[in-house]
Amino acid sequence: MNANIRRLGVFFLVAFAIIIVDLTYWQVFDAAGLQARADNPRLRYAAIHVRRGLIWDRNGTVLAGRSVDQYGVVHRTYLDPSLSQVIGYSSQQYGNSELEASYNDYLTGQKVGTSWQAEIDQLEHKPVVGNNVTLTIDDRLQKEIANIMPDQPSSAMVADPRTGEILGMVSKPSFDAGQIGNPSYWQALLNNPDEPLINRAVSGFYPPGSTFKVVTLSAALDSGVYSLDSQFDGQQATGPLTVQGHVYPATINNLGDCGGRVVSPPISLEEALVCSDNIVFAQVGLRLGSSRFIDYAQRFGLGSVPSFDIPVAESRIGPSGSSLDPVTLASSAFGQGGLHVTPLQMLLSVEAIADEGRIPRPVLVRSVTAPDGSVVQNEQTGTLGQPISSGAADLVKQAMTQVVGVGTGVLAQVPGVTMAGKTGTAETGDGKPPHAWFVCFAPINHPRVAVVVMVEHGGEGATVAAPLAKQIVQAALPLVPQ
Amino acid sequence: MRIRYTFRTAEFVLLILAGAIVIGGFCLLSAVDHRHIVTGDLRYPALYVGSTLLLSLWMGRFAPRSDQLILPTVSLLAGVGVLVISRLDPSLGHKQVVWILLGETGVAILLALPRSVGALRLYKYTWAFIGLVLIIATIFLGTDINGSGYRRWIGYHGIFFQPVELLKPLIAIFFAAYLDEKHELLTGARLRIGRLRLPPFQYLGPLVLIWSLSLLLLVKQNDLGSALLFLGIFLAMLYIGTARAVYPLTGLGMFAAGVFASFHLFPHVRLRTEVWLDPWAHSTGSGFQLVQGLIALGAGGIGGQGLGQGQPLNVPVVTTDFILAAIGEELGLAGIAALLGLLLFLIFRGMAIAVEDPDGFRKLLAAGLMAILGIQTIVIVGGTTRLMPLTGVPLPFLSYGGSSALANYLIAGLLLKISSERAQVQT
Repeated sequence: MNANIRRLGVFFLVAFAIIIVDLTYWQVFDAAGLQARADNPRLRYAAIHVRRGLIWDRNGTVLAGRSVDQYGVVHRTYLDPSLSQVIGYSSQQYGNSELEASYNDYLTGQKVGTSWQAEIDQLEHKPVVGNNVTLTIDDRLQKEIANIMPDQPSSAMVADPRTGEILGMVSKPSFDAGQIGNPSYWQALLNNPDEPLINRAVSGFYPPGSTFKVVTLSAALDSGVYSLDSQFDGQQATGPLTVQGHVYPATINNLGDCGGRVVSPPISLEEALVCSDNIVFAQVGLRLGSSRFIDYAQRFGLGSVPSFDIPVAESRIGPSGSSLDPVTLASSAFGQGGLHVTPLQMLLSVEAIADEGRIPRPVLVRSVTAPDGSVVQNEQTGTLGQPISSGAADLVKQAMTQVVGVGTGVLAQVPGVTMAGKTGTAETGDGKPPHAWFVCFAPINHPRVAVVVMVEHGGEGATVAAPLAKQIVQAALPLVPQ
Repeated sequence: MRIRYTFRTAEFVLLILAGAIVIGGFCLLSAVDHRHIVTGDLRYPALYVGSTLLLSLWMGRFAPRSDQLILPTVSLLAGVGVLVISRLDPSLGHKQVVWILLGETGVAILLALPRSVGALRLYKYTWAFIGLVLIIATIFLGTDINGSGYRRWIGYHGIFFQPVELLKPLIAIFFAAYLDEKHELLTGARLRIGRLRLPPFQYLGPLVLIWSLSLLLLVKQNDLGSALLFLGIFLAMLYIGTARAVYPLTGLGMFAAGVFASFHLFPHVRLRTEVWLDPWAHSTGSGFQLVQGLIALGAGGIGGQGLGQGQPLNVPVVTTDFILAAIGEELGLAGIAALLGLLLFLIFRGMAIAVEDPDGFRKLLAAGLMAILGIQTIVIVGGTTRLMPLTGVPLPFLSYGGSSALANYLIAGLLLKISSERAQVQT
């Protein structure tokens, strides 16, 4: 009998050992997988208790704050509704968007430098305090831009071309991220045909119109096919122009109202930009040829998504992308055809002209700092590429300066400041008024601000967008140090 | 007459250590809840620890030579049980202390009774009869207090009792007596069919009885856990008592046949098997408890979240059948391993007492009682960790439950009395 009792004891010993091995699997090896399951109630608990990091503007103004209620549940507060499409929202119902999504791991303290204090706090189950994020946005400027821009679907951005820092970004209509917990407010946002949840500055998709002539001119000069002095006489300058049976009428040469002047042929390539002559640019595009045109467009960033701190749409050359037929090529050269770009894309393009041919990486986050102030992530500045030589950029800058000085951009003139710019009036082909565009940078010698303005179906770039850009430059220059 | 008294030093010192651990745990819990220690939170645990010390003093008079390691082991296990239950539901913790005090009183009375453990064998059919009557009475007169759809409790004026818990030691007593009496017959006689040697079926009435009881529980009460437990106890004791592997194997085969048949006959048995094989597919329905239990275990990791700092209340039935999930989340793998180690130590201690005891009945009884604790632990822990289909039985000494606590203390009391009598025989 005793032998059997001992065997039973061995059986229990083995069985308990197997149980411990099994428990080790669940508690150690599969623990992370189990914790990540969506039906783990601890995740939701942690999510509503984490002290989400603050978001500051470049001067330390709080843009997104937090409050903790009596139950320890943390609520997000947003202080500038004009930034709702930039900062986004952090909601239990709808998840996170924009910066709240892309910097979620930092804001919730999941990405932290390994400090002993953090380890001890975790052991003591102290509420997790997230890292704080400082933006490149200057909220004083941000609020001014929001005031300047009209209350219709539109967007505007201001960047420092020396660093690529985005100083202001407005997309209208906007919304109040602090209110989306209210279901009827959220439903109204979803039902609004003007789609307030979309950040038009980086995700809006428009034909660029004549602002794209900056890119075409850059290609023409950088490739050496043209110089600023290249002459266009008679019908070359005025049209009509027939390409494979498609007629570009003389009404689109814009020579009759070039900043109030009437210009007559012969005209130089520079004057073609100043007056925004579509006939000339159609011919420039055809002479550059499809592959060269596409090559330069891609160098400027079309066909790829620039790295940015919030989601960005890809700007496109056309539906096919491989090769353009002559009619599409001629139209694309003055910003129509199949081109669809984001305002950010046009901003980056003029920043290249401002910064000696280099496109700076657009930056929205200056730094991420731990609650104790130590830096977790520094500003990620850099260069996306150099589409053209600095010499070519200088020539384009010279022509763009004339646009504001004596051409279509005169309404953007700021007293005492020499500015380079380009208007755009983008036909949408749906019978509605065209989109009004303006891109510019100032001052021309050492550019500190680059601006893009886009008003959906706003009308003429010269009369609608240029005056808005003027006000924005006036507001921005005093805020940006030399 | 001079009263002989022995101060049980080892036991008393170990009980103070166990008590310090339990009180320390309650201090921690109180500090987590209130940011400082509230003395009111320590009333019940102090009462409990005091009662264990009193019991030790009592045993110095009535069972001076009984084993000195059993009570400290049991007291630490039950104390941690009270601690974890209090963390989950303070009022249940208080109730559990009351149940344990009743159990300890039972132990004290049992040890003070002048009659020996051996006397129990004289009434073996009485115990079996009482057990069966309890089960049948439950089926017909019982109450369904937790909405499971099955009447598993017998109640009177708000106090409910789960007869199946008491049945465990009763059945062990009956089997020990029966197997001890029929020992010669069961090991000697053989039924030969050709070269095949089969057990003498005429003496295997209890096997059939237990098999029927298990299936009755399974079908009428949906209590697969208890069914498995009774069968396991019987097979383990049969194996010890007859030294022939053929009995447990035959019994296991019969049970397997029964389970196989139920799998096809009863949808709830089939569902339970499916949930065991793939709980993730049933994670919002019948597998919810199992999946949430595993998530809680995972949340604990090696060291645990700390007492009062996890979220084990997300697991259904966490105070009783699923208390392992709460222990795993807050005390971690280390905590579970320590508690399972204590249970295993208790089982080994009991088996050592069985091995050393010259009396067949006491030997079988001690081993059988330890088989109850061992199998019950394997069934519930294995069910929680997906080693086997989940069948709800309490984790001995740790789960909340009055009937279970009383039964476990009865087991401990019987073991103490056996060890006490063996010591008297030796001197």
